[in-house]
Amino acid sequence: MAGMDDRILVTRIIDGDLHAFRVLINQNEKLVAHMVGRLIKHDGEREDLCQEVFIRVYEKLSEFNFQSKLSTWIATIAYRHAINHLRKRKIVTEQIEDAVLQEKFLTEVNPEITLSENDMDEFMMLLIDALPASYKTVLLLFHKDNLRYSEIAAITGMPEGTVKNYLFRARNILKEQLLKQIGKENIR
Amino acid sequence: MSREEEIQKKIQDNAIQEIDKDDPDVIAYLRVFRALPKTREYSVPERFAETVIRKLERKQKRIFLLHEYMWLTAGILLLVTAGAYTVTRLDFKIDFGFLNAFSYKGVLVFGIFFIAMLNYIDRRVIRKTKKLI
Repeated sequence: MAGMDDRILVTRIIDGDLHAFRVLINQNEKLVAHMVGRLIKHDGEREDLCQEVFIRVYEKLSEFNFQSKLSTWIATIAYRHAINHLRKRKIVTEQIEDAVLQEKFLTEVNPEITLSENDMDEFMMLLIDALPASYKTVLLLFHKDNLRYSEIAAITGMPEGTVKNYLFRARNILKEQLLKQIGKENIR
Repeated sequence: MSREEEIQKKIQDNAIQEIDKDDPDVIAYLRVFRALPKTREYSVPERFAETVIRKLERKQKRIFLLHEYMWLTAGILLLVTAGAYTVTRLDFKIDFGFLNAFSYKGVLVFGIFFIAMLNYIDRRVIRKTKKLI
C-alpha cells in the first residue's frame, strides 16, 4: 500500500497545488530519466519524453488508486510512453521469438559491438545496450534499480514468470555474446 | 534446473565457490553480473520541474481557449438559428422603429449600464473563480 506521504501529495496535486506537483517531479525525475533513457537513445527526444511522462502523470493522477507505490505507477507510465514512442518510430521493441533472438545475438557478428578486449566494462555496456528493449528494461530494473519481480511485473505489464524468464535469457545472451566475442580461452 | 540457470542462481545467491571460477561460463556470468549495476545513469537538466510545469500551464491554457472558442461558436450558431427561426415564424419585417429607443433615454442608459455591469461581474467575479492555472 502507498504511504501516507503519497496520499497527501496526490490529494494536493489533484486539488491544483503546483508546488506539490513540483515535489512529485523532483522525487521521481531520476526514476523517469532512467526508464526513458534506457529505451531512447537520442538526448533531445529523451528530455521531451520525460516531460511528457510527467504531464501524463498529472492528467491521470485522479485515476491512481494506491494499489501500488506511486513511484511504481509513475515508472509504468514512463515505460509505456517510451515503448509507444519506439513503436511509432517503428523501432523494434516487441518480444522476439527465441529462434530470431538466437540468430541475431548469438550467430550474427555485430560490428557495432566489436571492441578492444581491454575495455571490458565499456564492452559490456554496449552488449547490454544492444539487447531488445523489453529484455534490457527487465534486466536493469532488477540489477540496477534492485526492484522485486512483482514490481518489475507491475511496471512492464508482464507476468512474473515472464520477468524471471526474460532475466535468465537476457543474462544468458550477454554471457554467450561475451564468450563469442572474447573467446572462452581469453575470458579470465 | 538447467546448468545455465544453476550458475545464475549461484551467483545471485553469492554461492559461487573458488572451484567454480575455472569454468569459462561462470567467469563470463560473473562479468555480466558485475557490469549490470554499473550501467549508465541518466539525468534530467536543471530546473526540469519548472520546464514541465510551464509546459503544463501552456497546454491547459490552450485547452481552455479551445473550449471558450467552442462555446462562442455554439452561442453564435444558436443565436443565428434562433434569429432565423424567429424571422420565419413571426413573419418579421425589418423596421427601423427601434431607433425610437433614443427617445427613451432612461431605458437606453439602463441598457448600457446593465450590459457593462454584466461584463464587470463576468471579468471580476466569474472568471476569477474558475480554476485557471
